[in-house]
Formats: sequence, structure tokens, C-alpha cells
Amino acid sequence: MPIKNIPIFVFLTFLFWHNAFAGGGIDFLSLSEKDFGVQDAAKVLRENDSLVIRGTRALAAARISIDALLYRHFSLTLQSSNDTTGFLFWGKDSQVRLHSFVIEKSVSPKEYAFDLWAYPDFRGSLGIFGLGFQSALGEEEVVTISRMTLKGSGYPSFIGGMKRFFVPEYVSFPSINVFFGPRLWDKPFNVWVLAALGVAIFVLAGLCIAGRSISWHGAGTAIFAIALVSWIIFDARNMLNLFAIAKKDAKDFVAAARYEKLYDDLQDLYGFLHFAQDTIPQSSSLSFVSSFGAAHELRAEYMLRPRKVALGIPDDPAAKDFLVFYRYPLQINEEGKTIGFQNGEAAYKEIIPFREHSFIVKIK
Amino acid sequence: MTEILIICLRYIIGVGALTVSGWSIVCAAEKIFSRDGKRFFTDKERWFLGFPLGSGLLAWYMFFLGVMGIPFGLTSIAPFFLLPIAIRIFLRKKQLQAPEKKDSILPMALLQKYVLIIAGALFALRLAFIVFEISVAPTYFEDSAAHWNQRAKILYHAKGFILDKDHPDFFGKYRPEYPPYTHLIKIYLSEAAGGWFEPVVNSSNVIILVSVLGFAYFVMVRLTGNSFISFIAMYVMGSIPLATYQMFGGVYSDFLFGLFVLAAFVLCMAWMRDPVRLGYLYISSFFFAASAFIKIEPLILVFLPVLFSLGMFARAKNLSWKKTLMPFVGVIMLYLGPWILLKAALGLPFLPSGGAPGGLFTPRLDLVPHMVRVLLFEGNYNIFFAAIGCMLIFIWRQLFSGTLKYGTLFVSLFFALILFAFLFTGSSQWLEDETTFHRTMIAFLPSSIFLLALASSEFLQSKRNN
Repeated sequence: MPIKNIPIFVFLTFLFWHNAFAGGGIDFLSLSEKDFGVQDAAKVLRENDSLVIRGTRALAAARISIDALLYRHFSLTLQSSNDTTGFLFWGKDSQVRLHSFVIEKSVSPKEYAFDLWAYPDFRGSLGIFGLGFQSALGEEEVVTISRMTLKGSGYPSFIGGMKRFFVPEYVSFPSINVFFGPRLWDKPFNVWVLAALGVAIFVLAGLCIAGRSISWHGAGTAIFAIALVSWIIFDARNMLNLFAIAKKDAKDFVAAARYEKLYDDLQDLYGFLHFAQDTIPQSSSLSFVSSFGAAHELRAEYMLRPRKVALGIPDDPAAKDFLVFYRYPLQINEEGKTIGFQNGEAAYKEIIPFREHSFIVKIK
Repeated sequence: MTEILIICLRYIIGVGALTVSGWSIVCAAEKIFSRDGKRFFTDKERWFLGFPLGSGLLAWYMFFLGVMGIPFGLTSIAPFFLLPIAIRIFLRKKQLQAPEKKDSILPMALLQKYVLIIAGALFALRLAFIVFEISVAPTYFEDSAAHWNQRAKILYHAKGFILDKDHPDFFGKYRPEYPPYTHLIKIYLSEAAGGWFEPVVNSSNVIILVSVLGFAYFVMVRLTGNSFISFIAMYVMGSIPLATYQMFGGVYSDFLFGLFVLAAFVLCMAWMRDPVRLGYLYISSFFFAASAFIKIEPLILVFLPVLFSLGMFARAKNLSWKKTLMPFVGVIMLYLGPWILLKAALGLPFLPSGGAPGGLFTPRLDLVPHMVRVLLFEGNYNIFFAAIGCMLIFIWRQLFSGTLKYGTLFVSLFFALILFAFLFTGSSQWLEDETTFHRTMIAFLPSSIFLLALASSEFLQSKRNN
């Protein structure tokens, strides 16, 4: 074979190697009992099955064998009796990382769609794909699942592998510590950079061994050039990421009304805190309680200062001017004007509602 | 609308006043330390150094206000600005000549100009993104809400330090053992703007980023004459992906202390090229000290490497320790001494709470593969660690020759101490759970990139000379 045809041959081999197209998708609710089990509730999920969550997590995991490069969209249609937290997880074996999402109470089935390629750990060959729920504070919640489907990317893996390079990595809690970076053909971009630099060094070493005279500075400049071009490509890709983040924030946070603001995995927390800022005088004392715990409570404390902020249900609720509840189901006796906690009840003057389970209680 | 304009105007005046005061102190330092009638810095370098230097001194001044129980406010802060004015008036008669520049600035090829345009455009877009997010995004990231912004806001509303240990908001309630530079600058900017506003308090890091990169760029051009490599080095430092996340959403301080170490390192390298100009060294010691007023890590990771490198340099050049190392250490002790004494008096831990949870010597060499994966294959540092190995093949001669070898010694020891801390002590937990190790590494990158850029510039220059 003529040498000039080698690159074409390599390219075709590569294309053949990545020739698989994503199938029509996996409908989880049609999987057999062997494939799909529900922890804490010994049964297989079927269409319109309900999952009752009492205080602890309920996890449903399917044993499947998929290539992350071929599957991209996960769609979940469900109805929940209460606001709750859902989790997606996947992995090769039991080593999985949970990705939470907020499920809102609904009276009819609601669809939740996920772009799995936006999750950096959705990669390689996967053996487990699962779904979980966590009820708030031991309240019984009924989640009825009507459909759960994993769909292909719609591209052959070669094209899909390139497309994934441009899928943005949005801001989330871990972003301050880890930026996973783009993936190209299901490998980190840096793997390809290392390969390019390695090949260049290998070629230069080969030329030296073969007795060809090469310019040391020319070789060094070539390596610097490859590194610089790779940095710029990575950075340009990173700019697309930042642009996507800015676009999302402009839509969900800037353009939204003051009480409707959404911010990434904190959802409408800031909208609610703006509502609390406008409702509670700065000289007041308050306790802030969220079913999501410290992650919400510390941000609330920061936003609501200089008010005197305590976190969690206080020992003596009557000593506070206000109690602030965010996504926290609570027993309210409107006639007797009392609210009930696990450790007693407290009298109140007025309840200032925001949304269901998110409200401000005026005590004094 | 008028209210927003007034806030913006007050904020600009606040930032401007701090920049001018820093600039005045730089000018004064030049006049005091110059022995040959020449300045140390060009006009641009002076201005870019203004805000970082001014902020470091102002934080120190406000620290004393806090310790003495004088309430924070424009009235109590105003005397700080009188000092630089007084020094300027006192030294007005001493005139200095402009510093020497490199004989010639290397001309750029057309391709290099295109690369610069692309890199400049990408950096400008990144800055635009950061400014947009600072303007609109709330305090979001965990440690901002649980420490940096929270503690600053508590002290701002308290109008000073709360040093009563029984008070529920003692020293800002959250992580009182952390040094107070970041909090005090946020308080100053809020006092200047007339209230606690998210964009105002979250803007401090980006001002330092632009200032220190601008300063490092002009010094590097002056030292090397290579504006292409200098600009690319600054672009690379400014586009570290993980560092961008420390510029908005509440801001963290790892990259910030890395920028202060960069400013100090730049000055150290400038001094090593021209050891007669001791002013470089003394201002450098101020920035090293200020870096440990931002976070505790520099005390452990930076001070030993810099003292060792400077000691080696002074010994090799037969320089007087009384004029070099002793004043260097003296400035650091003078700046950090009061803070360390206050910590001791209050019984605050030396290390950050949870710093080494597993004990001081608990080797975890099993984490080496994980660390290699983090450095090489995650996107935190763009392709830095993936490319560095190949680049070192070509520039190792430059790195280990001339004055650069002392810079290499500093950077290598800095890196080695990071590895030791995260592989041999209980801090390995923060490598395993992908948190502090990643962030500490972005503090290391600016000075290492600067060093590599100096070596690369010499590598390319040697090509021209051959």
C-alpha cells in the first residue's frame, strides 16, 4: 500500500472501530426482574408502579451493559405526592456517584429530561444505571413512575464522540474544586494532547536515531507550538462552556422576577431568600430551617444577615421573631394558630406563604 | 438608577484611592531604596502594583483598627490614605531616572501576531464572563457562604473584630483561625461603596488578577525583551479553568494567594538579575508576607522554599545576609507578627480546622495514581501538566543555569511540599475527595508558569544568538 494512503486507512479503521450507532433506547420498565430491582421494596418496577418512600432512600438500579458514548438522553416521567429529591447514578460496578435533582409535587405525571453527556462521570462502559429518591424528614411520599427511558445520541459513536466535546459542563457545587474538562471520543481531551506530544517526541527521537540532523530549537519550537495550540483549543472550548453558563444564568437568574430566580442545584432558594429579605425587618431574629440541611442553611444565614440568624428548629421557638421554612413540610393548625414540630408546638401570629412548604412564620 | 450610579462611583473612588496609595508607596520605596538614582519600575509597573500593594497595607492597617476596637468606617480608614501622601511630600525633592529597559523588544512574526490576537480575545471574553457573573451571580460556592463572605459580612455589620470568645459571632464566627486579608478588603470595598453589595464584595479577586498579571507582564517584557512569550505567559495564567471559578460565586482565596506569591516571585527574579536593587527584594518580602495574610498555606508551602532559594543565591553571590535575608525575614515578621500573636492570645489553632485530619505523618502513596490522573487528565489546569513533561526536555538547561536555577529551586520545593502535604500527611483526605489539593495546585501554577516562560524566552533567545 502506498505510504500516502496510510492516513486514510487509519481513519477508515478508526471509523469502523467506532461504527456502532445508538439503538432505539432502553425502556427500563420493560426490563426483567433479573435486570432491574428496587432496594427496600422487593419488586420490579412496572408501568405506573408507585414507589413509597418512608424516611429512607429508595433506590432502583438496572444491571445493563451500555457504552456511554452511544447513550445520551434519559427521560423520566413521574408524579410525586410531595416535593422530594431524586438521584441518578451509574457506574461500572457498585462504585457510583449520585447526582441529585429536585422533584416537585405534582398531581399529574411530569417529565424530567437529562442530558447525560453533561455529567463528566457518565463515561466508558457502564454496568449499572440507577435512580433513587430521598424523602424529606421521614414523611411518607408516593412516587409513581410511568416511564423511564434511556435513548441514544442519534449519532454514530465517531460523530457522537466529537459532539460530546462541545457539551457544556454547568456550574454545580463541586465546580469550585473540580473542572472535569471536555471529552473527545470518550477520552479526556488531555489524553489526545499527550498522544500528539508523545508522537512528536517519538518522531524526533526516531529522526535522531536514524542519523538525520534536526534543529534542536526547531524541534523545541514545534513542541511549544503543539502545546500552545492545544491550550488555545481547550480554552476556546472552555469559553463555550462559560458562555453556556452565562446564558443559563441570564435566563434563570437575571431575567427572572426577584422571587422567581433559579440558580443551578439550589433551584429557587435565592428567590425565596429575596422574599425573606423583603419580608423580615433587619433588626429581627429568626431561625431558618430547610429539609436540605446545611447546604441551604449556611447560604440563608449569609443572605439574611444582619438579621440575627439561627439555623435549624430552635429549642424555644417563641423566643424568635420569625421562623423561616424552606421546602419543609410541617403540621399547621390554622384554627389554633399553632405549628407542630417533632419536639412540640409553637404559637404563631401569621403565616406568610411563598410556595407550598416554603413560608415564613411570624411568631411575635 | 441614581442609587446604582452613586454606588458605582463610590466603588470606583474606593478602588482608585487604594491604587493611588499603593502607587505612592511604590514611588516612595523607590526613592528610599534606590542607590544609583534610577527607579526600579516603569510607570505601568507602578500603577499595576498599586492595588495589590495598597490592599496588603490597608488590610494590615485595618487589622490594627480591629484589634484596638476602633470601629471600621470611612472615618477610621481615611488616615491610612494620609500616610502615602505625607511620604510623597516628604520625598518630593528626590528625583529618579526611569529604569533600564531591555535593549530591544524582539519583533514578532505575523503568525505570532495572529496567535496574540486570538489569545487576547479569549482572555478578554473570559474577563467579560467573570465581570458578568460577578455582577449578577449570588454567593454560591460552599466555603464562600460558610466562611469567606459570611465571616466578612459578620465583621462588616459588627463594624470591627469580635474578640470576646463567648460571643456567638466570635471573630466572624466561621473559621476564626484564618487570616483576615480577604475579609478586610471586602469590608473596605463595602465601606467605600456605602453598603454590602454582592458585586462589590465579590470583585476583589478579579482586580488583583488584572493588576498582578499586568505587573508581571511588564516586568517580564523588561527583563526578557520578548513581548510574545510574556503575553502568552499571562494569558496562560489568566485562563487556568479552575481559577476562573474562584473569581465569581462568592470567590475563594487559593488563586488569590497564588497571585500574591507570583508578584513576590517576579520581584525576586528581578532582584536576582540585579542584586544591587534591594528594593525589589524588600517589596517581594512584603508580598510573601501578605500571601500568608490571605491563607495559612503559604506559611507551610512557600516560606521554606523561598528562604532556602534566597539563601543559596546570597551565598553563591557573596551577598551580605544583613542586607538581604535579614531584612527579608524582618519584613515578614513585622507584617505577620501581630496576627500570629493575636492568634496565640486568642488560643486559635495554627493550622486550619480540619487541615490534616488523619494526623501529621500518615503516608498514602496509594493515592499517587489518583493524583496523576487529576493532574494529567482532569480539566482543572487546562493541559498544563500534560504538556509540561515534553517542554522540560527542551528548556531544562535554561532552568538549571544562571539566576533561573534559584527560581527553579523555589518552584520545585514549593511543588514538593504540596506533594508531601497531600501524600504524606492527613491532608491526603483532601486529595482523595477531590477538594483542597486541586485548589492548592492553582496557587502553585502562576509562579511556575512565570518561571517556565522565562526559561522558554531564554531558549528562543539562544536560538537567535546561535
